[in-house]
Amino acid sequence: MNTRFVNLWNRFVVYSVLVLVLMLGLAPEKAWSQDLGAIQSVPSLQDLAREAQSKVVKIYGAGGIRGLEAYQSGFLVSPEGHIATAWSYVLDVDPIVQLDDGSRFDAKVLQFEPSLELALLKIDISEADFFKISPDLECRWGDPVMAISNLFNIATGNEPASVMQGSIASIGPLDARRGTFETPYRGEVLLLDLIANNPGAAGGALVDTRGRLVGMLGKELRDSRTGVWLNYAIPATVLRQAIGDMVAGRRLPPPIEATPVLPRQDSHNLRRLGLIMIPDVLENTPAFVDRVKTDSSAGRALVLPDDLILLVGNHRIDSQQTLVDRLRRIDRRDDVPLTLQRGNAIITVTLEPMQ
Amino acid sequence: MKPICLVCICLLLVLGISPEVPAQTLDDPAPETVVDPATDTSMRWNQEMSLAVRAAAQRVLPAVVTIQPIGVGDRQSGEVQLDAAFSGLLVDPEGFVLTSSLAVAGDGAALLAESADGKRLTATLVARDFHRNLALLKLSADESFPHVDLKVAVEEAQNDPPRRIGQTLIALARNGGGGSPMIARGILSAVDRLDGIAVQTDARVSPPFYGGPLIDLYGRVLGISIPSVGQGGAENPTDWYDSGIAFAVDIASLGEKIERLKAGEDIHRGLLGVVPKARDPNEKSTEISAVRPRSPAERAGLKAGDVILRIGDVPVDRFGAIKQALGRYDAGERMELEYRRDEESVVATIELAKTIPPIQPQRLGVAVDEGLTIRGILPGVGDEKSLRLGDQLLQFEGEELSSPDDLRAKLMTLPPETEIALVVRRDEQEKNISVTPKDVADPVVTTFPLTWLAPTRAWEVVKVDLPETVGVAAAVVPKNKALGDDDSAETDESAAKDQSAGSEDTSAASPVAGIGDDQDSSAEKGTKASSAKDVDASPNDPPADYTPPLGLAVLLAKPGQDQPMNLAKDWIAAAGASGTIVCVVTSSKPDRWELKTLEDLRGIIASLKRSYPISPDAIAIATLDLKRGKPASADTMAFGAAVSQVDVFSAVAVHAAFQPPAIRLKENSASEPLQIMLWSLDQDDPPALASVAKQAGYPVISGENLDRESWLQWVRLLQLY
Repeated sequence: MNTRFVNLWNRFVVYSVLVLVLMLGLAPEKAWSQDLGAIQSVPSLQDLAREAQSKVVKIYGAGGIRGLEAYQSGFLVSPEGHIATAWSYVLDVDPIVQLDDGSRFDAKVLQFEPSLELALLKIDISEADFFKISPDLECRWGDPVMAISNLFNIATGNEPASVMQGSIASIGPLDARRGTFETPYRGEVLLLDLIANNPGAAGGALVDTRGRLVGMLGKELRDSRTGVWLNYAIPATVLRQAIGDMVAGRRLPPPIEATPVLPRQDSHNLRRLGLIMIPDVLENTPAFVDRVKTDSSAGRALVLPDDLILLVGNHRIDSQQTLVDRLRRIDRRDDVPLTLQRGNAIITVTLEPMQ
Repeated sequence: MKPICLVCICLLLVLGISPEVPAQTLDDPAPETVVDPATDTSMRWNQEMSLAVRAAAQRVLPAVVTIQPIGVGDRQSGEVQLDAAFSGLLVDPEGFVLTSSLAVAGDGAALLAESADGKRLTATLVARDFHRNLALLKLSADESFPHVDLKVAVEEAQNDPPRRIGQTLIALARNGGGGSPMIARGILSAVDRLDGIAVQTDARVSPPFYGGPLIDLYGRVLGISIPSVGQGGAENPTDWYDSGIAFAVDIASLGEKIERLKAGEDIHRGLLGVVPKARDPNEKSTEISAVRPRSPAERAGLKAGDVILRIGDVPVDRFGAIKQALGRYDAGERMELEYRRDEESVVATIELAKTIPPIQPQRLGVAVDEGLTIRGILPGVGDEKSLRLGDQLLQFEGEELSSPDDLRAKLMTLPPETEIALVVRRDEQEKNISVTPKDVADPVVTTFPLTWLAPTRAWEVVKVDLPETVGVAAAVVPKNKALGDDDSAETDESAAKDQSAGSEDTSAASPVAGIGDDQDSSAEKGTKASSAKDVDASPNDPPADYTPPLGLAVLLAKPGQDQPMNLAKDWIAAAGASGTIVCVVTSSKPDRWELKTLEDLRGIIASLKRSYPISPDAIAIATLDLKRGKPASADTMAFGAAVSQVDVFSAVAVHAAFQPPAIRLKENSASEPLQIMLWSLDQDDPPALASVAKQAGYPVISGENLDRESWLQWVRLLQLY
């Protein structure tokens, strides 16, 4: 008994020394190259990963047609069996939830919040292990993370969900309107440098290296800027309020559509702003200004012929169609911020509505 | 003992409390869990790593800009939109930005750059490095930009410290729109990739990273991320995004050349202009078979027969190594090349060229065996003064000939209308002969040498099944034994089995019926055969043991057409008459061709080659509805298969109005030449592809006057030299 404690204590001392060496400000690269022995003793995050795995569940529901998978992932957010997951077609029927220990439950969809891609399920259970969501948990780009989900439905029965490791690549707005799967979510996401978002991964947990929940893996999406598949999670801090309200049975405020198309008479258009573009004859005619009406919003803002409109607000203008579409989404009483290219110069102007 | 007690107490406390926490305590901060020391170390290691990653990234991030092409439209490279926001690295205070050439691939109306401080600027293209797939842009502003000093980066890369496989690397970018920093962490997987210009990392590099820097944990720039799939890895260079296989142009390989780009000079890969004697680039031989006319190699005095020993500082023993060593040099650069001629070692200084005039393939019009003895002569080619049946070719323009491949390479690189001096052995004596080879495409030859008696019987349809492709291919092949053999039925069956198993010994056991065994067949074949016999009855009558190799025509059916056995039946007569095996391949998908078919074709052809005496130089691909019907996806597939596998195919025949696949047409190779035949070719208004192909050195031939049988004869005659 005694010897075991002594051994444990010795190990603790060794690790503490190692940690101290690290904390003395040596870059890890240097530290490991100088002490090869240390590499062998780099421990895994097994305990934390295992603990987090036990809170992740497999969800089986609708789908199976048109090549859509009838499964996804979720995680427990209360000891009474509240489960957060991604809102999707899988939940078109009351789903079946399978816990980490293999036990199966019929679940009810309690509520969902489309603008957050979030749904809350409930199963009849008590004293379950669950993720607490801290209000002040800050994560930054470059932080190592683990993604835990039942991607591709690899785990069945009491097999635990798959754990993948990587880093938070970036934190920024989601711009994903291309592709088969669309999302109304317009907030910031955690972009990941690991291939986390595969079929079945939606609703999985993203945890930091302390095992704390930092996000929920999103549905498969393509980036509208690049056209390629995204790997991302919706931050836990964004979901926290909604999950809390749903668990407590409080109603949510109605979702706000980011920038809907307005009725014609309520939105801006080219003519109202005094812009005459070059003839729109190509499939993607660049948004070059042909003429500007003198006494108009554009005229007063000193927009000139031959200016190329690059951006409206932060939205890229690829063609005259996108320009027209973008203007339809701005209230006619609001300003229109434009970024123009004139020769080699980039100019920002604001078109103010005419009274 | 005291600390242990403390730990125990803490553990007890925590264990006692945590299960009681109710759901409504979402607002409570998570209690600090006590973890075992091992996990604790790991957590701290991860924490340190993330600090180190951010610190390194912050050193370079001020010089990272986003580059957004505007007005590109809906064009794509694979899945990647060409108007995606890519990254770039400022390499100069005046605003020069190095980026991936993908950023300018869309050829749009404008390039919008966003700097680290959120400022938007126009970027203009200054020059392109076609060799390394980079572009240099210039931002338009009169200010001093934060930048990475490339000179310092190159010095660091070359000296301090050595790169270690497995060291941590970080790809950097900015997340388009907000411009927030973006990283992908991985390790150095390999150096000297893509013929020596790139390093490889396992970081998940997605398209926004293209053009951005790849740095180490000290914040030093190792390279610029570019999309690449290695050689023949996938259809589009961007197809391996996020795969863990990513490349960055080694900053050391660019070095001082950045000044050339700044001056507005494009950079191209440097070409030498030698044709290897060895067919396999990994064979231990660096002997030159031919030197391309008007190439740097010719200007430097290199000749066929020379053996290359060293390129720059790198000793070479295979052509693969030569390619790798040459990969470091750009056009216009001078390099030292050491070679051996007549047991003497010579050092030449060679300035590499951007282009070499394309080849204009020529031929003598003869068939030779492995020993370079002439086994067939096209009617009208041989006469008393020139080549004769049975001559053994010894020398070509003063160079010893070593193999049929050597002869072909020399003919391919010959300028048109050149009279050449040959030395042949005839009647145990060496004779000098001069001949003028002819263009391979003019005229279109479909008449066999008189010694090649066409077989008229004993061809049959067999299945060609490989383990991975079952039921998609069938071939018309010669029967194993001549008709009348007692055990023919049994043998036929076993032949089909052997063949599908890819057995090696089938060909040895099957002298191809009818072909070449003149003695038996001439008597029954009437006048044509006997007249041929008469011609052959000269003192130079070739030994009877020679069998002219067969041709192989691969025909692609329309997607949706199945039962290749039935489709192939139609071709028995034409195949038998021409001595060309016809292999019908159907698509495994009913609506389209799959890329994987390219691999399948290789397997099918390899299996047929093992079982039958097929000339490797007489393999062509076309569509099943040869000359009939409209251009279809099978034409596109056939063309794609041929140009991407020139080591397999010697010719492709497609409808002139077909839709060319989206692959770059490489220059026709002198060691593996390809001919292109077009149906329905309007000579007055040829398709764009025809002129592009001609400029790249491909013979473009009209197949207008050919019927099925004569087309198959043309295929078999591709083996002529």
